[in-house]
Amino acid sequence: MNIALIRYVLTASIRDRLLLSMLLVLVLGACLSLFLGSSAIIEQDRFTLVFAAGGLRIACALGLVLFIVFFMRRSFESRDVEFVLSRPVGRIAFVSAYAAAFSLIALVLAFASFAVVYAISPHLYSDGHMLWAFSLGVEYIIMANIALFFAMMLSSAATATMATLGFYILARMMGQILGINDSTKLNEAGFKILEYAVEGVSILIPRLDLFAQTSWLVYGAPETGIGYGFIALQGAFFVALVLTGALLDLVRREF
Amino acid sequence: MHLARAEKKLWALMALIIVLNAGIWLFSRTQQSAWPNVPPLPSKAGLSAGALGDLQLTYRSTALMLQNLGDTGGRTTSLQDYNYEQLGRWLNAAYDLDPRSSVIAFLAAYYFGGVQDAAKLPPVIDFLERAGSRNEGKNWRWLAQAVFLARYKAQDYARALALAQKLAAYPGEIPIWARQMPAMVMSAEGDKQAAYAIMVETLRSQANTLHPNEVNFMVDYICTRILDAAAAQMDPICAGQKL
Repeated sequence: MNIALIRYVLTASIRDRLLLSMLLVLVLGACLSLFLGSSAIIEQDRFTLVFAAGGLRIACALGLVLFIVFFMRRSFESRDVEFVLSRPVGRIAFVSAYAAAFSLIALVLAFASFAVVYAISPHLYSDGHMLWAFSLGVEYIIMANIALFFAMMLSSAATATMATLGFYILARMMGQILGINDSTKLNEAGFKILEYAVEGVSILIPRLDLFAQTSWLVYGAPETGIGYGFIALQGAFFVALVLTGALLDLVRREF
Repeated sequence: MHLARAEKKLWALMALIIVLNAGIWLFSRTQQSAWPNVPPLPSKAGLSAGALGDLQLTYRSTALMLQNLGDTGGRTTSLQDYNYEQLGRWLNAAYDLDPRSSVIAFLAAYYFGGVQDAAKLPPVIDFLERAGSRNEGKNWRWLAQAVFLARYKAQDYARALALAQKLAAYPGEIPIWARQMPAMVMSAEGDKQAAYAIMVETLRSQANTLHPNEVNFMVDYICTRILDAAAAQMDPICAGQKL
Protein backbone atom coordinates (compact mmCIF):
# COMPACT_ATOMS: atom_id res chain seq x y z
CA MET A 1 0.00 0.00 0.00
CA ASN A 2 1.42 3.35 -1.03
CA ILE A 3 1.04 5.61 2.02
CA ALA A 4 2.22 8.72 0.16
CA LEU A 5 -0.59 8.33 -2.41
CA ILE A 6 -3.18 7.86 0.33
CA ARG A 7 -1.94 11.02 2.04
CA TYR A 8 -2.06 12.84 -1.31
CA VAL A 9 -5.76 11.99 -1.78
CA LEU A 10 -6.62 12.82 1.84
CA THR A 11 -4.84 16.18 1.48
CA ALA A 12 -6.81 16.82 -1.71
CA SER A 13 -10.08 16.21 0.16
CA ILE A 14 -9.09 18.84 2.73
CA ARG A 15 -7.86 21.25 0.03
CA ASP A 16 -11.13 20.85 -1.91
CA ARG A 17 -12.96 21.69 1.34
CA LEU A 18 -14.91 18.40 1.20
CA LEU A 19 -14.81 17.91 4.96
CA LEU A 20 -15.69 21.53 5.67
CA SER A 21 -18.64 21.52 3.28
CA MET A 22 -19.85 18.16 4.63
CA LEU A 23 -19.66 19.57 8.16
CA LEU A 24 -21.92 22.39 6.98
CA VAL A 25 -24.31 19.87 5.40
CA LEU A 26 -24.40 17.88 8.66
CA VAL A 27 -25.21 20.96 10.75
CA LEU A 28 -27.86 22.21 8.30
CA GLY A 29 -29.34 18.71 7.97
CA ALA A 30 -29.54 18.35 11.75
CA CYS A 31 -31.22 21.78 12.08
CA LEU A 32 -33.76 20.97 9.35
CA SER A 33 -34.52 17.59 10.98
CA LEU A 34 -35.03 19.29 14.36
CA PHE A 35 -37.41 21.74 12.73
CA LEU A 36 -39.40 19.05 10.90
CA GLY A 37 -39.38 16.66 13.86
CA SER A 38 -40.60 19.34 16.26
CA SER A 39 -43.68 19.90 14.12
CA ALA A 40 -44.85 16.30 14.64
CA ILE A 41 -47.84 15.91 16.94
CA ILE A 42 -46.20 13.24 19.15
CA GLU A 43 -42.92 11.24 19.17
CA GLN A 44 -40.99 14.38 18.10
CA ASP A 45 -37.64 12.90 19.16
CA ARG A 46 -38.18 9.82 16.96
CA PHE A 47 -39.25 11.93 14.00
CA THR A 48 -36.14 14.10 14.37
CA LEU A 49 -33.90 11.07 14.68
CA VAL A 50 -35.32 9.34 11.60
CA PHE A 51 -35.33 12.50 9.46
CA ALA A 52 -31.73 13.30 10.44
CA ALA A 53 -30.48 9.76 9.87
CA GLY A 54 -32.33 9.28 6.56
CA GLY A 55 -31.51 12.73 5.23
CA LEU A 56 -27.84 12.83 6.22
CA ARG A 57 -27.35 9.32 4.83
CA ILE A 58 -28.30 10.56 1.35
CA ALA A 59 -26.60 13.97 1.66
CA CYS A 60 -23.22 12.52 2.70
CA ALA A 61 -23.39 9.84 -0.02
CA LEU A 62 -24.00 12.60 -2.57
CA GLY A 63 -21.07 14.69 -1.29
CA LEU A 64 -18.76 11.67 -1.29
CA VAL A 65 -19.69 10.66 -4.86
CA LEU A 66 -19.33 14.20 -6.23
CA PHE A 67 -15.90 14.63 -4.65
CA ILE A 68 -14.55 11.29 -5.86
CA VAL A 69 -15.85 11.54 -9.41
CA PHE A 70 -14.71 15.12 -9.99
CA PHE A 71 -11.36 14.53 -8.26
CA MET A 72 -10.68 11.45 -10.41
CA ARG A 73 -11.73 13.11 -13.68
CA ARG A 74 -9.59 16.16 -12.85
CA SER A 75 -6.65 13.84 -12.09
CA PHE A 76 -7.00 12.19 -15.51
CA GLU A 77 -7.53 15.46 -17.40
CA SER A 78 -4.63 17.30 -15.75
CA ARG A 79 -2.46 14.20 -16.38
CA ASP A 80 -1.84 13.69 -12.64
CA VAL A 81 -2.54 9.98 -13.11
CA GLU A 82 0.05 9.68 -15.87
CA PHE A 83 2.55 11.56 -13.72
CA VAL A 84 1.96 9.25 -10.75
CA LEU A 85 2.19 6.15 -12.94
CA SER A 86 5.50 7.42 -14.41
CA ARG A 87 6.94 7.08 -10.90
CA PRO A 88 7.76 3.64 -9.46
CA VAL A 89 4.13 2.97 -8.61
CA GLY A 90 2.38 -0.05 -10.10
CA ARG A 91 -1.14 0.19 -11.44
CA ILE A 92 -2.45 -2.19 -8.77
CA ALA A 93 -0.81 -0.09 -6.04
CA PHE A 94 -2.29 3.04 -7.60
CA VAL A 95 -5.88 1.74 -7.57
CA SER A 96 -5.46 0.19 -4.10
CA ALA A 97 -4.11 3.43 -2.63
CA TYR A 98 -6.90 5.55 -4.14
CA ALA A 99 -9.55 3.04 -3.03
CA ALA A 100 -8.09 2.97 0.50
CA ALA A 101 -8.00 6.77 0.70
CA PHE A 102 -11.58 7.14 -0.55
CA SER A 103 -12.71 4.41 1.86
CA LEU A 104 -11.07 6.29 4.73
CA ILE A 105 -12.96 9.45 3.74
CA ALA A 106 -16.15 7.36 3.56
CA LEU A 107 -15.56 6.13 7.11
CA VAL A 108 -14.95 9.68 8.37
CA LEU A 109 -18.27 10.81 6.86
CA ALA A 110 -20.10 7.80 8.31
CA PHE A 111 -18.67 8.51 11.75
CA ALA A 112 -19.58 12.21 11.48
CA SER A 113 -23.17 11.26 10.52
CA PHE A 114 -23.34 8.84 13.44
CA ALA A 115 -22.04 11.52 15.84
CA VAL A 116 -24.75 13.96 14.68
CA VAL A 117 -27.49 11.33 14.89
CA TYR A 118 -26.35 10.35 18.39
CA ALA A 119 -26.12 13.98 19.52
CA ILE A 120 -29.68 14.68 18.34
CA SER A 121 -31.31 12.07 20.59
CA PRO A 122 -28.75 10.53 22.98
CA HIS A 123 -31.56 9.18 25.18
CA LEU A 124 -32.70 6.90 22.32
CA TYR A 125 -29.28 5.23 22.00
CA SER A 126 -29.44 1.44 21.62
CA ASP A 127 -27.49 -1.43 20.04
CA GLY A 128 -29.27 -0.46 16.80
CA HIS A 129 -27.17 2.72 16.63
CA MET A 130 -23.94 0.73 16.39
CA LEU A 131 -25.34 -1.54 13.68
CA TRP A 132 -26.64 1.52 11.82
CA ALA A 133 -23.24 3.26 12.01
CA PHE A 134 -21.37 0.13 10.94
CA SER A 135 -23.63 -0.51 7.95
CA LEU A 136 -23.49 3.18 6.99
CA GLY A 137 -19.69 2.95 6.96
CA VAL A 138 -19.82 -0.13 4.71
CA GLU A 139 -22.42 1.55 2.46
CA TYR A 140 -20.19 4.60 2.02
CA ILE A 141 -17.17 2.40 1.30
CA ILE A 142 -19.21 0.65 -1.41
CA MET A 143 -20.30 4.02 -2.83
CA ALA A 144 -16.74 5.40 -2.73
CA ASN A 145 -15.43 2.42 -4.67
CA ILE A 146 -18.27 2.41 -7.20
CA ALA A 147 -17.67 6.15 -7.75
CA LEU A 148 -13.98 5.39 -8.31
CA PHE A 149 -14.94 2.63 -10.76
CA PHE A 150 -17.30 4.80 -12.84
CA ALA A 151 -14.91 7.78 -12.76
CA MET A 152 -12.20 5.55 -14.27
CA MET A 153 -14.47 3.87 -16.79
CA LEU A 154 -16.38 6.90 -18.08
CA SER A 155 -14.63 9.91 -19.52
CA SER A 156 -17.22 12.51 -18.52
CA ALA A 157 -17.60 13.61 -14.90
CA ALA A 158 -21.31 14.31 -15.38
CA THR A 159 -21.94 10.84 -16.87
CA ALA A 160 -19.93 9.13 -14.12
CA THR A 161 -21.87 11.02 -11.43
CA MET A 162 -25.20 10.12 -13.01
CA ALA A 163 -24.15 6.47 -13.34
CA THR A 164 -23.04 6.31 -9.69
CA LEU A 165 -26.21 7.97 -8.40
CA GLY A 166 -28.32 5.73 -10.66
CA PHE A 167 -26.55 2.75 -9.12
CA TYR A 168 -27.25 4.12 -5.63
CA ILE A 169 -30.98 4.53 -6.30
CA LEU A 170 -31.15 1.06 -7.85
CA ALA A 171 -29.30 -0.49 -4.88
CA ARG A 172 -31.56 1.33 -2.39
CA MET A 173 -34.73 0.28 -4.26
CA MET A 174 -33.64 -3.27 -5.08
CA GLY A 175 -35.70 -4.82 -2.25
CA GLN A 176 -38.87 -3.15 -3.53
CA ILE A 177 -38.10 -4.08 -7.14
CA LEU A 178 -37.56 -7.73 -6.21
CA GLY A 179 -40.78 -7.60 -4.18
CA ILE A 180 -42.67 -6.47 -7.27
CA ASN A 181 -40.92 -9.18 -9.26
CA ASP A 182 -42.00 -11.85 -6.77
CA SER A 183 -45.59 -10.66 -6.55
CA THR A 184 -46.14 -10.40 -10.31
CA LYS A 185 -46.35 -13.87 -11.71
CA LEU A 186 -47.42 -13.33 -15.29
CA ASN A 187 -46.68 -16.19 -17.63
CA GLU A 188 -46.33 -14.11 -20.78
CA ALA A 189 -42.94 -14.47 -22.44
CA GLY A 190 -42.19 -10.72 -22.36
CA PHE A 191 -42.75 -10.51 -18.61
CA LYS A 192 -40.72 -13.69 -18.00
CA ILE A 193 -37.74 -12.13 -19.79
CA LEU A 194 -38.11 -8.98 -17.67
CA GLU A 195 -38.33 -11.08 -14.50
CA TYR A 196 -35.13 -12.94 -15.35
CA ALA A 197 -33.42 -9.67 -16.31
CA VAL A 198 -34.30 -8.14 -12.92
CA GLU A 199 -33.12 -11.29 -11.11
CA GLY A 200 -29.85 -11.17 -13.08
CA VAL A 201 -29.23 -7.50 -12.32
CA SER A 202 -29.99 -8.06 -8.62
CA ILE A 203 -27.12 -10.58 -8.38
CA LEU A 204 -24.65 -7.79 -9.11
CA ILE A 205 -26.30 -5.02 -7.11
CA PRO A 206 -25.70 -4.85 -3.34
CA ARG A 207 -28.87 -4.67 -1.23
CA LEU A 208 -28.33 -1.19 0.22
CA ASP A 209 -32.00 -1.14 1.28
CA LEU A 210 -30.98 -3.64 3.98
CA PHE A 211 -28.22 -1.32 5.22
CA ALA A 212 -28.51 1.60 7.70
CA GLN A 213 -32.22 1.11 8.35
CA THR A 214 -33.59 3.98 10.42
CA SER A 215 -35.97 1.58 12.18
CA TRP A 216 -32.89 0.20 14.01
CA LEU A 217 -32.39 3.63 15.58
CA VAL A 218 -35.97 3.65 16.88
CA TYR A 219 -36.49 0.00 17.85
CA GLY A 220 -32.94 -1.36 18.23
CA ALA A 221 -31.03 -3.94 16.19
CA PRO A 222 -33.09 -6.83 14.79
CA GLU A 223 -32.78 -10.11 16.68
CA THR A 224 -32.65 -12.14 13.49
CA GLY A 225 -31.85 -11.42 9.85
CA ILE A 226 -29.49 -8.56 9.01
CA GLY A 227 -26.39 -8.38 11.20
CA TYR A 228 -22.72 -7.44 11.16
CA GLY A 229 -21.71 -10.59 9.28
CA PHE A 230 -24.01 -10.07 6.29
CA ILE A 231 -23.09 -6.37 6.01
CA ALA A 232 -19.33 -7.03 6.21
CA LEU A 233 -19.49 -9.87 3.64
CA GLN A 234 -21.72 -7.92 1.24
CA GLY A 235 -19.33 -4.95 1.48
CA ALA A 236 -16.17 -7.02 1.06
CA PHE A 237 -17.46 -9.02 -1.94
CA PHE A 238 -18.85 -6.02 -3.76
CA VAL A 239 -15.83 -3.78 -3.17
CA ALA A 240 -13.58 -6.61 -4.43
CA LEU A 241 -15.76 -6.86 -7.56
CA VAL A 242 -15.65 -3.16 -8.46
CA LEU A 243 -11.97 -2.80 -7.64
CA THR A 244 -11.16 -5.73 -9.92
CA GLY A 245 -13.22 -4.00 -12.64
CA ALA A 246 -11.42 -0.70 -12.10
CA LEU A 247 -8.06 -2.48 -12.19
CA LEU A 248 -8.95 -4.28 -15.42
CA ASP A 249 -9.82 -0.93 -16.96
CA LEU A 250 -6.56 0.65 -15.84
CA VAL A 251 -4.43 -2.32 -16.89
CA ARG A 252 -5.92 -2.29 -20.40
CA ARG A 253 -5.65 1.49 -20.75
CA GLU A 254 -2.85 2.94 -22.88
CA PHE A 255 -1.50 6.35 -21.89
CA MET B 1 -18.01 54.94 -28.54
CA HIS B 2 -19.56 51.95 -30.26
CA LEU B 3 -19.35 49.89 -27.05
CA ALA B 4 -20.85 52.70 -24.98
CA ARG B 5 -23.87 52.81 -27.33
CA ALA B 6 -24.22 49.02 -27.14
CA GLU B 7 -24.09 49.20 -23.36
CA LYS B 8 -26.89 51.81 -23.30
CA LYS B 9 -29.03 49.55 -25.51
CA LEU B 10 -28.34 46.59 -23.23
CA TRP B 11 -29.41 48.60 -20.16
CA ALA B 12 -32.59 49.61 -21.98
CA LEU B 13 -33.20 45.97 -22.96
CA MET B 14 -32.66 44.86 -19.38
CA ALA B 15 -35.14 47.46 -18.12
CA LEU B 16 -37.70 46.23 -20.66
CA ILE B 17 -37.13 42.59 -19.60
CA ILE B 18 -37.60 43.56 -15.93
CA VAL B 19 -40.90 45.23 -16.83
CA LEU B 20 -41.99 42.11 -18.75
CA ASN B 21 -41.05 39.96 -15.73
CA ALA B 22 -43.13 42.24 -13.51
CA GLY B 23 -46.01 41.75 -15.94
CA ILE B 24 -45.72 37.97 -15.57
CA TRP B 25 -45.45 38.40 -11.80
CA LEU B 26 -48.76 40.32 -11.73
CA PHE B 27 -50.41 37.14 -13.02
CA SER B 28 -48.40 34.52 -11.11
CA ARG B 29 -48.47 36.34 -7.73
CA THR B 30 -52.14 35.55 -7.21
CA GLN B 31 -51.87 31.92 -8.32
CA GLN B 32 -51.86 29.42 -5.43
CA SER B 33 -51.52 25.68 -5.68
CA ALA B 34 -54.97 24.14 -5.31
CA TRP B 35 -55.45 21.23 -2.91
CA PRO B 36 -56.91 18.30 -4.82
CA ASN B 37 -58.10 16.70 -1.55
CA VAL B 38 -56.58 13.54 -0.03
CA PRO B 39 -54.47 12.07 -2.86
CA PRO B 40 -54.93 8.50 -4.12
CA LEU B 41 -52.79 5.98 -2.27
CA PRO B 42 -49.76 4.73 -4.23
CA SER B 43 -48.42 1.17 -3.94
CA LYS B 44 -46.04 0.36 -1.07
CA ALA B 45 -43.09 0.45 -3.50
CA GLY B 46 -44.25 3.79 -4.84
CA LEU B 47 -44.72 5.15 -1.34
CA SER B 48 -41.24 4.13 -0.21
CA ALA B 49 -39.54 5.37 -3.40
CA GLY B 50 -39.47 8.93 -2.02
CA ALA B 51 -37.34 7.74 0.90
CA LEU B 52 -35.23 5.45 -1.33
CA GLY B 53 -36.62 2.28 0.20
CA ASP B 54 -36.16 3.27 3.87
CA LEU B 55 -39.48 2.15 5.36
CA GLN B 56 -39.14 3.94 8.71
CA LEU B 57 -38.32 7.20 6.93
CA THR B 58 -41.31 6.55 4.63
CA TYR B 59 -43.50 6.02 7.70
CA ARG B 60 -42.39 9.24 9.43
CA SER B 61 -42.66 11.30 6.21
CA THR B 62 -46.14 9.90 5.54
CA ALA B 63 -47.24 10.61 9.13
CA LEU B 64 -46.07 14.22 8.88
CA MET B 65 -47.73 14.53 5.47
CA LEU B 66 -51.03 13.23 6.88
CA GLN B 67 -50.78 15.55 9.88
CA ASN B 68 -50.38 18.62 7.64
CA LEU B 69 -52.47 17.31 4.74
CA GLY B 70 -54.77 20.22 3.87
CA ASP B 71 -52.93 22.87 5.83
CA THR B 72 -49.84 23.80 3.86
CA GLY B 73 -48.73 26.90 1.96
CA GLY B 74 -50.79 29.26 4.10
CA ARG B 75 -53.99 27.32 3.36
CA THR B 76 -56.29 25.71 5.92
CA THR B 77 -58.91 23.09 5.10
CA SER B 78 -61.78 21.99 7.28
CA LEU B 79 -61.70 18.28 8.15
CA GLN B 80 -65.24 17.91 6.80
CA ASP B 81 -63.89 18.72 3.33
CA TYR B 82 -61.44 15.79 3.43
CA ASN B 83 -62.13 12.63 1.49
CA TYR B 84 -62.30 10.24 4.46
CA GLU B 85 -62.51 7.12 2.29
CA GLN B 86 -59.09 7.92 0.81
CA LEU B 87 -57.85 9.00 4.22
CA GLY B 88 -58.76 5.60 5.65
CA ARG B 89 -56.60 3.92 3.00
CA TRP B 90 -53.68 6.21 3.87
CA LEU B 91 -54.07 5.50 7.60
CA ASN B 92 -53.96 1.76 6.97
CA ALA B 93 -51.01 1.98 4.58
CA ALA B 94 -49.00 4.12 7.00
CA TYR B 95 -49.91 1.80 9.89
CA ASP B 96 -48.60 -1.19 7.89
CA LEU B 97 -45.21 0.53 7.65
CA ASP B 98 -44.79 0.65 11.44
CA PRO B 99 -47.54 -0.87 13.61
CA ARG B 100 -45.47 -0.29 16.77
CA SER B 101 -45.61 3.51 16.64
CA SER B 102 -48.63 5.41 18.04
CA VAL B 103 -48.49 8.40 15.69
CA ILE B 104 -51.01 7.27 13.07
CA ALA B 105 -53.53 5.92 15.59
CA PHE B 106 -53.14 9.13 17.60
CA LEU B 107 -53.85 11.24 14.51
CA ALA B 108 -56.88 9.10 13.66
CA ALA B 109 -58.29 9.20 17.20
CA TYR B 110 -57.74 12.78 18.28
CA TYR B 111 -57.31 14.71 15.04
CA PHE B 112 -59.24 13.12 12.19
CA GLY B 113 -61.78 11.78 14.72
CA GLY B 114 -62.66 15.40 15.47
CA VAL B 115 -64.46 15.89 12.15
CA GLN B 116 -67.78 17.72 12.53
CA ASP B 117 -69.57 15.54 9.99
CA ALA B 118 -70.14 12.24 11.81
CA ALA B 119 -71.03 10.50 8.53
CA LYS B 120 -67.37 10.65 7.60
CA LEU B 121 -66.21 8.73 10.67
CA PRO B 122 -66.58 5.03 9.65
CA PRO B 123 -63.13 4.74 7.98
CA VAL B 124 -61.52 6.26 11.08
CA ILE B 125 -63.48 3.94 13.39
CA ASP B 126 -62.51 0.92 11.23
CA PHE B 127 -58.87 1.94 11.38
CA LEU B 128 -58.94 2.46 15.16
CA GLU B 129 -60.50 -0.97 15.56
CA ARG B 130 -57.58 -2.41 13.61
CA ALA B 131 -54.94 -0.45 15.57
CA GLY B 132 -56.64 -1.27 18.87
CA SER B 133 -56.85 -4.98 18.15
CA ARG B 134 -53.07 -5.32 18.13
CA ASN B 135 -52.41 -6.93 21.48
CA GLU B 136 -49.33 -5.00 22.56
CA GLY B 137 -48.71 -2.24 25.07
CA LYS B 138 -51.59 0.20 25.52
CA ASN B 139 -53.08 -0.29 22.06
CA TRP B 140 -56.44 -1.19 23.57
CA ARG B 141 -57.01 2.53 24.11
CA TRP B 142 -57.53 2.96 20.34
CA LEU B 143 -60.34 0.43 20.56
CA ALA B 144 -61.82 2.45 23.44
CA GLN B 145 -61.58 5.57 21.31
CA ALA B 146 -63.30 3.72 18.44
CA VAL B 147 -66.16 2.86 20.83
CA PHE B 148 -66.37 6.48 21.89
CA LEU B 149 -66.49 7.78 18.29
CA ALA B 150 -69.06 5.17 17.21
CA ARG B 151 -71.29 5.68 20.26
CA TYR B 152 -71.13 9.40 20.97
CA LYS B 153 -70.27 10.95 17.61
CA ALA B 154 -71.47 8.62 14.87
CA GLN B 155 -74.42 7.48 17.06
CA ASP B 156 -74.00 4.02 15.59
CA TYR B 157 -75.03 1.97 18.63
CA ALA B 158 -74.73 -1.46 16.99
CA ARG B 159 -71.19 -0.74 15.83
CA ALA B 160 -70.29 0.76 19.21
CA LEU B 161 -71.60 -2.29 21.04
CA ALA B 162 -69.67 -4.67 18.78
CA LEU B 163 -66.48 -2.68 19.39
CA ALA B 164 -67.16 -2.50 23.13
CA GLN B 165 -67.59 -6.28 23.27
CA LYS B 166 -64.31 -6.67 21.42
CA LEU B 167 -62.66 -4.36 23.94
CA ALA B 168 -64.19 -6.23 26.88
CA ALA B 169 -62.74 -9.48 25.49
CA TYR B 170 -59.29 -7.95 24.97
CA PRO B 171 -56.73 -10.62 25.91
CA GLY B 172 -54.23 -8.31 27.61
CA GLU B 173 -54.40 -6.42 30.88
CA ILE B 174 -56.82 -3.49 30.66
CA PRO B 175 -58.60 -1.30 33.26
CA ILE B 176 -61.87 -2.45 34.72
CA TRP B 177 -63.85 0.38 33.09
CA ALA B 178 -62.74 -0.83 29.66
CA ARG B 179 -64.10 -4.29 30.47
CA GLN B 180 -67.38 -2.59 31.45
CA MET B 181 -67.62 -0.71 28.18
CA PRO B 182 -70.54 -2.77 26.74
CA ALA B 183 -72.62 -1.77 29.76
CA MET B 184 -71.72 1.89 29.27
CA VAL B 185 -72.72 1.75 25.62
CA MET B 186 -76.00 0.15 26.45
CA SER B 187 -76.79 2.44 29.41
CA ALA B 188 -79.48 5.05 29.00
CA GLU B 189 -77.41 7.63 30.85
CA GLY B 190 -76.73 11.01 29.28
CA ASP B 191 -74.10 10.80 26.54
CA LYS B 192 -71.94 13.55 27.96
CA GLN B 193 -71.67 12.03 31.42
CA ALA B 194 -70.65 8.63 30.06
CA ALA B 195 -68.11 10.13 27.67
CA TYR B 196 -66.77 12.28 30.51
CA ALA B 197 -66.46 9.25 32.76
CA ILE B 198 -64.51 7.29 30.11
CA MET B 199 -62.05 10.07 29.42
CA VAL B 200 -61.50 10.99 33.09
CA GLU B 201 -60.99 7.34 33.99
CA THR B 202 -58.47 6.96 31.15
CA LEU B 203 -56.59 9.99 32.45
CA ARG B 204 -56.73 8.78 36.05
CA SER B 205 -55.42 5.32 35.27
CA GLN B 206 -53.00 6.09 32.41
CA ALA B 207 -51.86 9.73 32.62
CA ASN B 208 -48.48 8.93 34.17
CA THR B 209 -47.60 6.47 31.38
CA LEU B 210 -48.91 8.45 28.38
CA HIS B 211 -47.01 11.02 26.32
CA PRO B 212 -47.59 14.55 27.78
CA ASN B 213 -49.02 15.72 24.42
CA GLU B 214 -51.55 12.92 24.52
CA VAL B 215 -52.60 13.89 28.06
CA ASN B 216 -52.92 17.53 26.98
CA PHE B 217 -55.09 16.51 24.03
CA MET B 218 -57.37 14.46 26.27
CA VAL B 219 -57.74 17.29 28.80
CA ASP B 220 -58.52 19.67 25.95
CA TYR B 221 -61.04 17.20 24.56
CA ILE B 222 -62.82 17.00 27.93
CA CYS B 223 -62.84 20.75 28.48
CA THR B 224 -63.80 21.94 25.01
CA ARG B 225 -65.71 19.06 23.41
CA ILE B 226 -67.41 17.09 26.16
CA LEU B 227 -68.13 19.80 28.73
CA ASP B 228 -69.87 23.05 27.94
CA ALA B 229 -68.19 26.30 28.97
CA ALA B 230 -70.02 26.59 32.29
CA ALA B 231 -69.31 22.98 33.30
CA ALA B 232 -65.66 23.29 32.21
CA GLN B 233 -65.16 26.34 34.43
CA MET B 234 -66.40 24.38 37.44
CA ASP B 235 -64.32 21.28 36.68
CA PRO B 236 -60.90 21.09 38.39
CA ILE B 237 -59.47 19.14 35.40
CA CYS B 238 -59.98 22.24 33.27
CA ALA B 239 -58.24 24.61 35.69
CA GLY B 240 -55.65 26.54 33.71
CA GLN B 241 -57.13 25.44 30.36
CA LYS B 242 -57.88 28.05 27.71
CA LEU B 243 -61.66 27.67 27.35
